[in-house]
Amino acid sequence: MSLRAQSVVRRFGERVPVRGVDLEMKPGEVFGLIGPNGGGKSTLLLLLAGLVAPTEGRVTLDGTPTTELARAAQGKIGLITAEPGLYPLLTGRENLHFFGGLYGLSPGEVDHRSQPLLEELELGPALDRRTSEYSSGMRQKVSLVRALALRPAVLLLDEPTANLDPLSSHTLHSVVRRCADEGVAVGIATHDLHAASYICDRVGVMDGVLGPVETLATKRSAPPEGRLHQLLRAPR
Amino acid sequence: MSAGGAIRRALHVARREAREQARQPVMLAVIGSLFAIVTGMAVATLFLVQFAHDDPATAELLAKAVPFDEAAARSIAASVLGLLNFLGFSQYLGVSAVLAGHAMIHERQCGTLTFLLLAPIGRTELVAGKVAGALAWTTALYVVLVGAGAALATLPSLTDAAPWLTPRSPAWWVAFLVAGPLWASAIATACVLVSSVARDVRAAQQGVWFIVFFATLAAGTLLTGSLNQGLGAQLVSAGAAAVTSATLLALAAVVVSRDLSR
Repeated sequence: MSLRAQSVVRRFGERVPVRGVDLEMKPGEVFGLIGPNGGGKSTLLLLLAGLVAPTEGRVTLDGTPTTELARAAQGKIGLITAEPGLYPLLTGRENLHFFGGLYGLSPGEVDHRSQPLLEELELGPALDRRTSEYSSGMRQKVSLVRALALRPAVLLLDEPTANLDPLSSHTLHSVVRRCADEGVAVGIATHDLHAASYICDRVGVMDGVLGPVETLATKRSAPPEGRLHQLLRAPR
Repeated sequence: MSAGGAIRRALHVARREAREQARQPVMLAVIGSLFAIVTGMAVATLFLVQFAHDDPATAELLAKAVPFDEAAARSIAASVLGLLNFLGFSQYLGVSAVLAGHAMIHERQCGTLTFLLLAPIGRTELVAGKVAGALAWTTALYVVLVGAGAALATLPSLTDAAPWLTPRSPAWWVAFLVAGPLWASAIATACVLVSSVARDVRAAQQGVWFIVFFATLAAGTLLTGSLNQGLGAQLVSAGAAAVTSATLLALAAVVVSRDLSR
């Protein structure tokens, strides 16, 4: 499934965080969004997920606007945000079962799908504790497992490594890359340029408007244009 | 979209809501205490009036201070029964409304609303699940504690004065088990809607309190006041509550937007 934004504008009163964005996310590709704080990356991801309606333009999943998706198609978009979004009084496993149930999955199916990921992320033993007892990194890992266990066709990630240690960040990036290699269309907003350079096929600089979409290596070699490009050329 | 699937998804949300509440035993103890205190005080008063009525020495002593004869004792018993029913209903409706009003705020605070809205579940199903989950424990505590109080209230013979206010009357059973929960559902749905559109916790709480204050008083008065009008009146009340609930649920499908920015 491909996700497409056409001339998308989003206004919040006087503020216009997204000003005329065109992009297409294809299956098997990791699309990176980099840019300064407040540049509209998170808003763009919510627009792509259909959780914020565009003021102008449209976002479509295989031709259908994401804000009008039928129930089955609605479940095709997975999302990971910097805020994990888990119920603190439930265990990690109960959280996974609950969200899986909303997608029609039985607890057994959720366990079966999530087991390899839980092992990879070394979450297994903690899964039967309440998430209020988790570190922020552990909560983020459960959020990742939740998104991937639902097997989305499109996976959107907003600063997914914000709470993770370097090793866990590396694991998450590897998992995300593998998802794309299996045919998922992945969009990731990140400040981690090193990670972006090895997991993203294409990146775009988002600062209200989306700049040219190309490989990060091409962007680094481009002539300097302001502070963002200085950042891109900074030593790793 | 099948009705069975919609009900299954709504119950899935409700079970999760109830499970979270079960992990808050202090909250459930507070709700149970409210019901127990209200019914306990009313039942204790009934037994005291009965004792004063049955014991000539006490009745004589009381009669020196206030008019206390057979008619007065029966009148007091009827008033206490009315109060027991009113407080039982209004507590139940109020507690349900507060819990339901908090249900959507809780989602915002946990950051889970984003993922609920992303999931393939209808807005009506989501609201119905939140309402059912908010009512689950409260209804269980109400049925057990208020029901036990009402059963005990039938023991003093003076309560023969107002049998329509006790489990001796079929109308009371319909009000207690059908109209009461349906009105609780209607008020709870209104509170979920208000808290869904509120932009912050304080605005939501004020909106919920506005509904709690007026709606619980009105519905509590309606339920208690119509008990003497028989079974038909209670069935009409239950029907009105069901229609109100259904209308509010339909409204929920429109008002509770998938758009997080609204």
